[in-house]
Amino acid sequence: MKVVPLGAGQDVGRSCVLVTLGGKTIMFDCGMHMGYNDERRFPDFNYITTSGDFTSRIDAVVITHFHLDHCGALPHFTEQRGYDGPIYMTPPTKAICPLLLEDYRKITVERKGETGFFTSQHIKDCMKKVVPLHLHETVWVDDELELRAYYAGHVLGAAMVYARCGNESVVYTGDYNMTPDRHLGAAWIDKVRPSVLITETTYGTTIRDSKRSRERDFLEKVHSCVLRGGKVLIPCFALGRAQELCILIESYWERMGLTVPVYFSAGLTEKANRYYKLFINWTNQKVKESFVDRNPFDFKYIKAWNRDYVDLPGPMVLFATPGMLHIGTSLEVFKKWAPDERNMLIMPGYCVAGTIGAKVLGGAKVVELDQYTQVHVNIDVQNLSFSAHADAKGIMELIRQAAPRNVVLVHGEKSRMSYLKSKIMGEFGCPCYDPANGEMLEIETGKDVRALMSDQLFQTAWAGEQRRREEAAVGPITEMPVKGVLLLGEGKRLTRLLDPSEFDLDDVPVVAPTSASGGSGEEGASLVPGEGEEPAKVRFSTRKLFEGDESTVQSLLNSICQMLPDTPNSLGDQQGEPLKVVLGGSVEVCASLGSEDVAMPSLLISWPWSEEVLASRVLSVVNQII
Amino acid sequence: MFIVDCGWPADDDADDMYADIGKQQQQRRPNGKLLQNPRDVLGTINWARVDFILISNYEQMRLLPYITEYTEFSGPVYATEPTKVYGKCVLEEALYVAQGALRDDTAGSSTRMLAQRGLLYSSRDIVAAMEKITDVRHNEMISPVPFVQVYTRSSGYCIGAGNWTVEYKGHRTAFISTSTFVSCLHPQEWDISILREAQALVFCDAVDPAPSSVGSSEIGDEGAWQSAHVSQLLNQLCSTAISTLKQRGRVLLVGEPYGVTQDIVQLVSENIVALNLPQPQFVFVSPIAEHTLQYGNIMGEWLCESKHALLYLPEYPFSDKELRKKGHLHFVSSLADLATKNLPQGNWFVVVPPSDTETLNHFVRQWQQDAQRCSSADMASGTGMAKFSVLIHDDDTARAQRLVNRLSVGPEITYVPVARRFTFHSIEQCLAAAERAHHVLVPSHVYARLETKAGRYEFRMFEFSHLQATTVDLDTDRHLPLDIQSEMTRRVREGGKQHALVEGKLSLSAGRIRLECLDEDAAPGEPAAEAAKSKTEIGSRYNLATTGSANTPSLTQRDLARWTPEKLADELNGVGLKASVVSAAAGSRAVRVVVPGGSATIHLDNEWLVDCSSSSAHWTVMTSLRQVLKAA
Repeated sequence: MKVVPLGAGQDVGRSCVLVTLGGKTIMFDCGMHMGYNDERRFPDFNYITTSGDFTSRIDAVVITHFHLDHCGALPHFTEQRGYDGPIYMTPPTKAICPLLLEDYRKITVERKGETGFFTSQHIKDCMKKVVPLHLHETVWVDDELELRAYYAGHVLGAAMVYARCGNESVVYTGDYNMTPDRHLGAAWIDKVRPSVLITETTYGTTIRDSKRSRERDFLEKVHSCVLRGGKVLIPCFALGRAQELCILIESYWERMGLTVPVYFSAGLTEKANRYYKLFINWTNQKVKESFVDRNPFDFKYIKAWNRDYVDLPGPMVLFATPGMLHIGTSLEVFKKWAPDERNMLIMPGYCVAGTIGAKVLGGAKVVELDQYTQVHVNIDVQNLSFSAHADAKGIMELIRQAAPRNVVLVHGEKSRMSYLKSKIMGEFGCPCYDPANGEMLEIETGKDVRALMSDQLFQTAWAGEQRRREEAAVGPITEMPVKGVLLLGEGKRLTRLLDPSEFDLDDVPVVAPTSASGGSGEEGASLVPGEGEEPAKVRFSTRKLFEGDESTVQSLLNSICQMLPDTPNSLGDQQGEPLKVVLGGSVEVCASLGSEDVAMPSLLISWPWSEEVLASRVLSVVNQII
Repeated sequence: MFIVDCGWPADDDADDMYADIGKQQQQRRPNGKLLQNPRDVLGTINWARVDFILISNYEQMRLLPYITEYTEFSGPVYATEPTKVYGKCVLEEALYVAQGALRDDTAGSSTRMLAQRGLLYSSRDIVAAMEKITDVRHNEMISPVPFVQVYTRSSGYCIGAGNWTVEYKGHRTAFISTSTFVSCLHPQEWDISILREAQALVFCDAVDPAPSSVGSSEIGDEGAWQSAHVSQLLNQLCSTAISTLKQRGRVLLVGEPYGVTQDIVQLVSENIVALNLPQPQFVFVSPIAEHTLQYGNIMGEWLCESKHALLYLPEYPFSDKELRKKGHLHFVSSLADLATKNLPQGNWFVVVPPSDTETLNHFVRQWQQDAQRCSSADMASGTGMAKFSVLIHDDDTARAQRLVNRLSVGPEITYVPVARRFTFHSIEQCLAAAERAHHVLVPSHVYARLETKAGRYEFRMFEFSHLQATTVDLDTDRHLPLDIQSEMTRRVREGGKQHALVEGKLSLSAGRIRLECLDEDAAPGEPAAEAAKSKTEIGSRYNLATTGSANTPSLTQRDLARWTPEKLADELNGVGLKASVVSAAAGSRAVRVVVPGGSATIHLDNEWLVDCSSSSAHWTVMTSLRQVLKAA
């Protein structure tokens, strides 16, 4: 299985990840980079093929949500580069995506005067090819490749996509959010056990405080600013965060009886809100239940913005697009309001490096808008992370839910990724990669063998398990032991698993059961290298701190041994050293009580390199216990 | 064992069927209308043994609250999202009507009190039952019990309506519930693929002509209804309404505030706009109408293609949003409520559910009086409110006839049954498309008609009828598709054998069966343990998967001796770590590596000692170290 990020590898922006599984290639997302204005803004499609025949190389394009860094390059790819295969999106994404594309196209072409950019007609033609992908629905791209979308909660219609072809499967998360907010629910996925999970890591290193306190913070800041007569500028996308903040402001204004005007800049307000009304199914349960009586997207206090209002005296609140202050209304208003220190700028989202938004957030006091214009920034700049991405905790939670065999990190900054990478490898013990753009990652997946199982064997096993369950009165059957004869396939004949009674015992003598311990024993022997060469002695050790005293230490060691029943251990052998356990002959777990330097007792686990497998098991057990 | 649909319409054939897969037989058991008490019927089923219930559309769930609340059934119930929300409305409306005068709060009243009133459940039970329904989407694969997969495909009958397919051992049984080929109505279109895939077909619902109409002429009539395109029928209803409204009359539409009614209202309001007539006041007399109409506007994804396309504009799929905005749409929960509300007078277009006879009678009587009072002069000048028409679109002729008799109205009534359900003609059409079918079950009345043709088909046909157990032996002596962990076959193969006695664990995840090695149990839930099965596998996984053969233990002590701390630090820096040479105790030197989440010190003595400060650090160090050593 191959994974190649064409964009968003160790970076945020122009998300585009190519995955080849089971001989099929899927392109997940096709976004643009907002930090560049040259050809670097699009993913490097030449990587796929230089001949221009993308359709035969790529079996499907899947867009996870409508943000431009996930769908911005799509018209370029389909109309200007000639990809003609299927494109999948959820219905809200399909509805909203062309709006944002058109908005961006207008700014680039009409205001900046760029040429060679895609046209409105390109956007329309491109959208006609889109096939809607509903949540949880299994869609077959062809006879082998199947897709399924899961709720991602990042913006309206955001989805995580599970793809499977043959024995290989992948989950691409797009952007997701594990905590429900005012209008969206939390991301959720089945335990699909994909071969590879490709996850975003935008906020991979931060663990954020509760959403509620951030909301309170936001409202208090806005309120204090309008009380002192200042103007509040909130740059944001026309869709998504804007609606959430509008709901917040709306309810706060109602509760506090405020009369300070609130404006929304983009001309598409009413239309944008209608998308939210039509796709209420994609919001959270609370909104859904109450919408008949009061649709939260019918705003009472929020009015349309007029350019002339920018010089009006007195306090006001303005939601302006776009979110990164790189262009458009938000930049125009920023130019006017920035010098006044009573005013406030609230950046609710993420700013791509290189944009004015990022510079202001970085604390720049003088910002150059272009060669001729400079703006002194006296405005009170506040960064409130409302951006609905999962934080470190959320990412770990998703990995736990999906239980992947490999993890690939994309859509984040490199420095942050490496921290998360080590954390994931430490906690889940599964390999984790953070490929750069254009770096091909080949991941070996433990391929399953397709086989047939005899009905008789299944019935016997099932009945046996059912009896056992009934006695023990435990939940539904999800797994059961089975013992049968495995008959390997040859050529076209599939491998079969038969009941011993079905197997003709006279023909061939049945060999002894191939049990796990026997297998690893043989392999153990094969690991001894060359003749007479002494294997390299590399010993690893790692420390773990925990709380407790001597008695907890002893019980800890005991429970470690109990959790690894099949591994020989030395517990109780050494009377002299009660705080040490040797597992499997060479993995040592040694406890030391608090010393002067370290107040807490610690466990020292050390093992020779060759015992890495056992060590990783010991470590995971230790992790479980502590 | 599972149940498909649990309907109990007032005087219709109820659908209630179960199939017992454990015994490889299927039985159908519709509740007959002759039974006085549905409880007796339900009592014949051992509910504790029913594993799950599948609901195909919102008309087929009348018994559900009783089953979930008052029987031993404890399994999951599956239905599409519209089925769930509309179903709740439908049940609540039925309960509301049934309670009639006793409209006081029955929530909290005991079962016995409910029983005394002839009710099976209370409104609280409805809510509780709805909470037990799991939302599904068309084509969503679910696995309610291991090794059984179910999914639904659109049936076109009403919004969110589906036909369930149950797959067991690769053998698919399709339950064709109320369905329609008609594509001019608002629900998502009928999905024919269900017929093509299934090995066994069960037709749960088809129009059963009234017992009296067995004569040949009647059958001809029925055929005519079917052939008259439904859109023509709708147009006929619509034009009657329009012509009445044109003459400043009033229209009474008898129908539930969902389903076909929505199409008719839509058509009427569109035509009025097109003809430039004054918009009438649309009045819905029903406690649930506001909800059902609103839901229609957010269920865009479940609608037919043309309406679905509106979502992307974005436009509301139904016109009621527009009407409401202009104040032409009114909802009253009952007749009493109507009296208290001050609605604008003028042309009225009233929608009343057929079950609410009280209201129907009121309107008819009132308007008849109006007509009598109206002088002929008024009539001539067209100022009077004389004219009115009553429209009925129910496709059940018998029920409609009874209603007409009760209402005692004459020429004002227009009865156009909008027949959408499958007749035996449509079933015949279906059978032509059933490519893989081996068994077909049809209701006995359909069977009687198709019997003569049965020989033409390649499959066996069975009939079933009320409360009769029909047993079909499915050809299930098949092999189950199975995934075997490659590890297991590899071991056998390595042993140079063609077959071996193996022990393993069967696990079911995401609808697939997988045979796994037993030793995975060692550390449950830890992927690390799963990876720990074989050294070679580990090697190929942890190395950046370029070559699978580079195992660390192949390094020898001699290799290690070649390294100096400086060289190691250099190389480690080369793979992106922050490494530096530090002097450790006792004069020896070491390499210190700082990684996110911790640090590690590598002592390069005779025996290398890698001391890591945290477990997350050691993974990074270990991988990098291996990479470096391998490269050298």
